[in-house]
Amino acid sequence: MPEPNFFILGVILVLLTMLFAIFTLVKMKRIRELVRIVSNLNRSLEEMDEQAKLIVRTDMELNKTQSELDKKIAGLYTLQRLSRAITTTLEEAKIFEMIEPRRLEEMGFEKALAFLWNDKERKFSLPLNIGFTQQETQGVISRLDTEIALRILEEEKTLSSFSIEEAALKESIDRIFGMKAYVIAPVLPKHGERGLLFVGTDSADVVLTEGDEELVTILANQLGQALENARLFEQTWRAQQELENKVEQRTKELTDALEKIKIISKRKSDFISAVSHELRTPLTSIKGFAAILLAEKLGALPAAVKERLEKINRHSDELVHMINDLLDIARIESGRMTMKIEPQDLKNIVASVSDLITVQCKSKNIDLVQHLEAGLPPVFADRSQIDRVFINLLGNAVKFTPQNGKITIRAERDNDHVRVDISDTGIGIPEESLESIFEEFYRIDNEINQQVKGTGLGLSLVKNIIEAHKGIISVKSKLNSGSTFSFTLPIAK
Amino acid sequence: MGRHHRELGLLFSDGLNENGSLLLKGLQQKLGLSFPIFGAAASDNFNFLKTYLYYNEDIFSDGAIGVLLGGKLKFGLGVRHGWRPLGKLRRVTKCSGNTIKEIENKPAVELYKEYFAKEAAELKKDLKIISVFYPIGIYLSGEKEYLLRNVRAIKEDGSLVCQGDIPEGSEIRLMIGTKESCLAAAKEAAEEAKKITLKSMFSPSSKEGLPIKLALVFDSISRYMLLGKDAQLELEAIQEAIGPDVPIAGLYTFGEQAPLKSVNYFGRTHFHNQTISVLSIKG
Repeated sequence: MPEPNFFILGVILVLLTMLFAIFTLVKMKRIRELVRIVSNLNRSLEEMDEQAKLIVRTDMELNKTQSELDKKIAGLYTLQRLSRAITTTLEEAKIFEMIEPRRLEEMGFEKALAFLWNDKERKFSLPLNIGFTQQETQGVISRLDTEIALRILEEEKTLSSFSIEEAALKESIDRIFGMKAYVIAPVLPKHGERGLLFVGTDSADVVLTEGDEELVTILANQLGQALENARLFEQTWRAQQELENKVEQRTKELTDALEKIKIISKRKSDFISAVSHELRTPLTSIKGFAAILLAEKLGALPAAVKERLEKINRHSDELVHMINDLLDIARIESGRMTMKIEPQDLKNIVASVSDLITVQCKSKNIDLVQHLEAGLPPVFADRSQIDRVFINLLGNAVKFTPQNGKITIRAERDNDHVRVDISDTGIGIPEESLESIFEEFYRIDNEINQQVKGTGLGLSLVKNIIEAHKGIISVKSKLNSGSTFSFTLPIAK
Repeated sequence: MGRHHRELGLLFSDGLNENGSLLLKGLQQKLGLSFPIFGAAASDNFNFLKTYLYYNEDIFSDGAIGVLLGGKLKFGLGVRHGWRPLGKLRRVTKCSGNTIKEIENKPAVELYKEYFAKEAAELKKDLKIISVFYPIGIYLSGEKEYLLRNVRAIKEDGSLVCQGDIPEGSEIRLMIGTKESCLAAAKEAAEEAKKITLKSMFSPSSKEGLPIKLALVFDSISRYMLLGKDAQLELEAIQEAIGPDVPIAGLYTFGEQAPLKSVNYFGRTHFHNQTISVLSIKG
């Protein structure tokens, strides 16, 4: 029978179809699941991509800011180094040399020019040129409009290619220098030539900002300051040089004068020596002959003749005396006097000299007193010369002290010297003569000098002798009260 | 090709060549696709005006110089950049040689426009910075890092002209780098150069013990721009890795040539951007 076969086939088909349907359903569910997951993933991806965009944009800004900062910092470092170099230079010519191409680049510029305006000659000098060839420089100078440059100088403000407001001005400046990006800052020292500092860059990347303007302005200020300092220093230095020159000149003049004086002095001494020697010879003859005549060797002489002859003798003596004094002075002055320096006991000297004038003192009733310090040390001196000093001074004292006066000899130790004072109660010395009294031939115009003859050489000789002993002589006096002559002598050690 | 078997080629090319990949293609026709070439493209401080190559007593531009090396020396190689991918993968839908015409069927420049929210004119102004900090990275399966391309110019029709070839159909992403990642990359490149020896590039176990006599470092100038005043740190990292007494010689480049390591690429030399490439010469 065939029907049961169809029936079984039919059932199998239905079962298969049902299985297939279930299978498809399951698969479809799975597919829907996957589609959902994929769509979620896609959405996440898109969202992340959007985030990526934000990240990239922020990152870009950061990078730009970072590189700006780096540039600024580098610029500041360079500015600091430049400033230090510039402000420690005192030579005007070297100041602009401190701006080296390398430093300029570090600040972000390749080219620079500096102008200084010379008002007298009405033109600019160019102490700094970096990055411009000779030709280019010539071009700039020829195109440089003095009016514009002076205007910028007047306004004393910094200009830059991005901050110039007047379009016409910007065009002119662009044309003069042939650059698009630049900063021009005024250099303003207080004294002397002022000018402008131009810095520019051709680099396509660079965008100039206010920060750049500020850097250049600071640099220009430093230059101005340095120029000011250099110029002041120069001025001071010059003034000092002039002063030194003057001093040198004066010193030379004085030295020359001194030389001349020395020569004159020497000539005087030589003259005195020569003349004295010349005078001595005839004098000796005169005296000789007078002596012979006086001794009546050539026959007896009447009393009147004898009197005259004696006068001749006396006067000749005086002349000889004067000549000897002169010779001594001349010799001492020219250093030709031989001195026998030995330790001397002042007490002895004073004693012997006092003896010599005792008679004269008695005749005028003058009191002669000694005050010699106890234990007075010996002094270095030439005996005969010191004798003469004492004789001269004491002689003067007696001469100028009237009747019933007093002469005091005092001696005391003063460090490494001994000081001797010879005081009298005489007529004294007028104040205006105190200085000149030790000069040769100087005699005060008073009664006694008019009566008694003198050479005027005594005190001069004394001064020479004391000074040759490395001592000092001085005088104190009051008219009609008396005088004190003091001198020092070195102690013999 | 002479008595000794040649193992490595050193190459120096003009960095202003528009497409660095073409030069390699030509060389590979003669030397073979898998011949390892290690090289640098001469640079001129980002002015893009003129670069110079020295050959004995001559100096010239717009050319290339090479040396084939073989013999007792053994070489180690490490190439890294440190840039990381950012954003989603996009497909290069139309491209000719080194010019990307369309990305995902839109003009290529849209990529940068989207990410930076800037118009083409502004992008052109900032191109140097954008190209260095955010280059395009080509995904290469099997390689540790993406292959980077610097954009040299944006054409009127929105095409991006790069320094090397980009295969049509490549998957690319925008890349971002930091100082840290750069320095880490320098260290990794040096470590790898220390370990690997060229012969066994495909099975990197090997003659670690060999002392390095000299290291050549070809450092992309983009990294100098990113690192700024810290540029010295890269070299210090390399010196530390290979040993303080090993002499280092090298230059800053506008691009590097080096083989890719993974098997997928059969050691074929490619033109790279932004990497730091270290060749260690051992023996």
